[in-house]
Amino acid sequence: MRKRNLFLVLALAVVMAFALAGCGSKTDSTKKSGTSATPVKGGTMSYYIGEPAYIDPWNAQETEGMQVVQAIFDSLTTVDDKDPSKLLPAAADSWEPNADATVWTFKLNKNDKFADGTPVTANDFIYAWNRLVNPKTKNTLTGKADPSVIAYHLGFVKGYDEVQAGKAKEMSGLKAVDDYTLEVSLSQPFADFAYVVMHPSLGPTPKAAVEDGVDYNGKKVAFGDMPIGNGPFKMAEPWKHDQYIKVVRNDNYYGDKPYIDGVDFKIFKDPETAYTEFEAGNLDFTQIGEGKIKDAEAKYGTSSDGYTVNPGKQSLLGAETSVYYLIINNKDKTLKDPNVRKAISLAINRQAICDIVFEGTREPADGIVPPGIAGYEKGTWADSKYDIEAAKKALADAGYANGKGLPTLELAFNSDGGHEKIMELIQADLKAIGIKTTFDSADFPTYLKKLDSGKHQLGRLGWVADYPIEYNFLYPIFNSKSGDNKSFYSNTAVDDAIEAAEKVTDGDARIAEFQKINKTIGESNPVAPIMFYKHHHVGSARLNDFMFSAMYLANFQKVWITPSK
Amino acid sequence: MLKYIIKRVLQFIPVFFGVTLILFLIANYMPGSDPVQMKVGEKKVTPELRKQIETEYGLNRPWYVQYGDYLYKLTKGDLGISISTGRPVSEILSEKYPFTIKLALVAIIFEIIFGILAGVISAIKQRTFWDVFVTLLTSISVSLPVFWLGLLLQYFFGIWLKEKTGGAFYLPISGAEGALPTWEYYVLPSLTLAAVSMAYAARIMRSQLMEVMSMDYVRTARAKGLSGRKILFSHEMKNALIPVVTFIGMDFGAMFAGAVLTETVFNWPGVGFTIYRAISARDFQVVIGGVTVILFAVMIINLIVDISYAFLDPRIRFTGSEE
Repeated sequence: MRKRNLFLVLALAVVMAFALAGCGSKTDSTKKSGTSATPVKGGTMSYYIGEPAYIDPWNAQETEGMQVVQAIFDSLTTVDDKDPSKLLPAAADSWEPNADATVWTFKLNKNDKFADGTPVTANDFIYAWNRLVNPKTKNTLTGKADPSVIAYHLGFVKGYDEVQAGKAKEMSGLKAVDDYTLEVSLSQPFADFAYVVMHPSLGPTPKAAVEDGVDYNGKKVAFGDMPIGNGPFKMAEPWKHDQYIKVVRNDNYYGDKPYIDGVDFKIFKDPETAYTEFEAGNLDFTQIGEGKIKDAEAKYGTSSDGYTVNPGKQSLLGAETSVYYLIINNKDKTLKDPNVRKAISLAINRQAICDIVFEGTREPADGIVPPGIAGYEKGTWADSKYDIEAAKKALADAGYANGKGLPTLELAFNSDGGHEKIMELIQADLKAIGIKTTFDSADFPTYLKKLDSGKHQLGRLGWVADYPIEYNFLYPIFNSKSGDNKSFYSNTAVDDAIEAAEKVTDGDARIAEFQKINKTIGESNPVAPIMFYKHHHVGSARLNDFMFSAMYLANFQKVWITPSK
Repeated sequence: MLKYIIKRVLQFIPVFFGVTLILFLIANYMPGSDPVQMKVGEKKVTPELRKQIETEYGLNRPWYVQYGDYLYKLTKGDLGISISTGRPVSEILSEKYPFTIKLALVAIIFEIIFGILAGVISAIKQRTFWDVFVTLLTSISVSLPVFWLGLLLQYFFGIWLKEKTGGAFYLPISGAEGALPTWEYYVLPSLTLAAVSMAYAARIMRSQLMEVMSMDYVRTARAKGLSGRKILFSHEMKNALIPVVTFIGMDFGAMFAGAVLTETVFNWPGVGFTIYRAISARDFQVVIGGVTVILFAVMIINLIVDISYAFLDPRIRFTGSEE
């Protein structure tokens, strides 16, 4: 009865698993904190991502694909990891706008090469950018047209509308003055353009590889599965969908070559499983599992700046450049009164939401612009704080003392994504000053349709920065012509001021202009900012100087791995 | 027999049209079925972008035209293009199915060996320690949430054991590196996937065998002086197995739809999570393509199960059979 014994062993194993599961795990958290050692070359870092939608930069937009794209492509500019207001050269050595910021000249780095050794020229940027904007661009995986959803990045370039409408194939505003000089003409002044072109999806692409495929082991692989770029890393093999993407150091890279040999982007369906793998010692960087922040901080230590991983200081909790806000329909007959909006904003206990719902992984918002954006100032929006007495007063000023006479408001949100818990707290906060609300939740597309129709009163949305500039918040969320302005805030003075600010080519002066505009908008509380997102990530004890920026981009160039003994 | 098979295949036709038609109607009329918005995320989809994507993916055509197109392409083995990723659906599914099938096969083997064995043991050792043990274990197994069992196994075999043995012995807790993962990768996910079914198989086996054991022909066999083992294998098991085979067969069919929870917990690159993700993204091309494959697979497996009855029970004759 050998089989029976086998069954018994199995059964016992299962029973033991129950008994022992409670024992928890101890990891090697006892490693000494801080490093003074000099960087060592070598080693491969493993990094958690979800399955990207695209890693071909022409259509890469979500955070997953972006991590890979930015490892294998370099755009014209980049920003300092710690201070995003500081623009740094990347594929472009220098750049200059004309007097009204309508024509930009980028001088390209002459050492810049694609991973296959071919030099990067101005035409490679022009090709890449036209590819992004032309809705007839073929997806290399199918050979069929697949319109890019991120064409809008180049919306200011002259000729954009014609290419989008199918009337032209190339944007008239792009010109290769010579191989290493790219001239970009815009359809309107835009002094922040050098920040726009830092976007990882706006790197150069080699035409031949896109159109003919990429050689791999004697076979041709579609560019979409094995893109070739000019970044610090290159694809080691084609994308193994739902399994991994492996990149290795690009020896043709023009900049500082990374210390590590490569990065294994391990694809997980679920961050919880990734965190279990991290705990088992099989992953170098991941999100911290739900409800385990305090635990992770105790086990792995907390990063001193919130963005850099070093041994013993491994949990990252720095603020991200994204904001979660309550939409208030400024056209609604009750909510068009600024005092009602002020009362709503002051009544919300943001800290409680961050603590109760998010275990401290969010930060109360003190304005619409998060830290990490050039020009961020603390407490820009005076009413973006919890002050119940002031809220009651504002409501009384509006003629609704203790909510008397105020109609019940509708609080709309999308039913997916766990917003209900946040809305329940907001509902209770509003009730405390006498504002009654009812819920209306629907699936995301239906909810967005409602916001478009303008029939909503209160709602929610999140906004993630594409570029670390205030414009990227103030224009889309508050310009009267913007499709993302779901509060229907309309102030021609603000519209004009934003337009005027983008003519100011001096960086500091422009930032000052935007700070003023931000304050002006905040005074009338067109929305109620609730919280800023924060990192909730952790790195392994063998990583040194690994930087994960506020823009949610990993910097694999400076990280080095402590060799195992 | 042939007539029976033809009849079964013909019966499949209305099922196929029924299911796919309903899916097309859902894709077009369900509130919130907006794959374009889901592709773009929280940002506003401009009317221009919406038009571009709808034109290129053929979403601007009436549903019956889309359905006709789907049927036409299906005859050529083309399942369309995923809206959220821009990849051919047939490529996505052909990448995931080998993993799903491999995992299902291992799970079924667990189910057959341990499920049947446990059922037999507890039936022939009625009201002994082993009977109680199996009953208890199957009760626990049936009532445990799958993801929780998965997590327990991960912690025990992947983390705890690794630490206790200083990294000498442990099992990989997730993933399946490469095209043909080594055996270690299968153990935990297939155990998790098989856990509930294994328990059911054991219980069905136990009750069936006990019923058969009280039959007259078994008593006759015993009176004839046949050995216990001979009776068990040639008389009792054969009849008691039929419902178990049905159950396991159906289960195997169900596994073709993928196992969302097991695949998620163990990060298995199978088809279940792919369809689940496609549903969340309203990526109906992938959902419909996936369901089409599942439909065919389930039909074929059910047919095989039904045919296998004839071998287990000679009394079963298929209608239309001349024999």
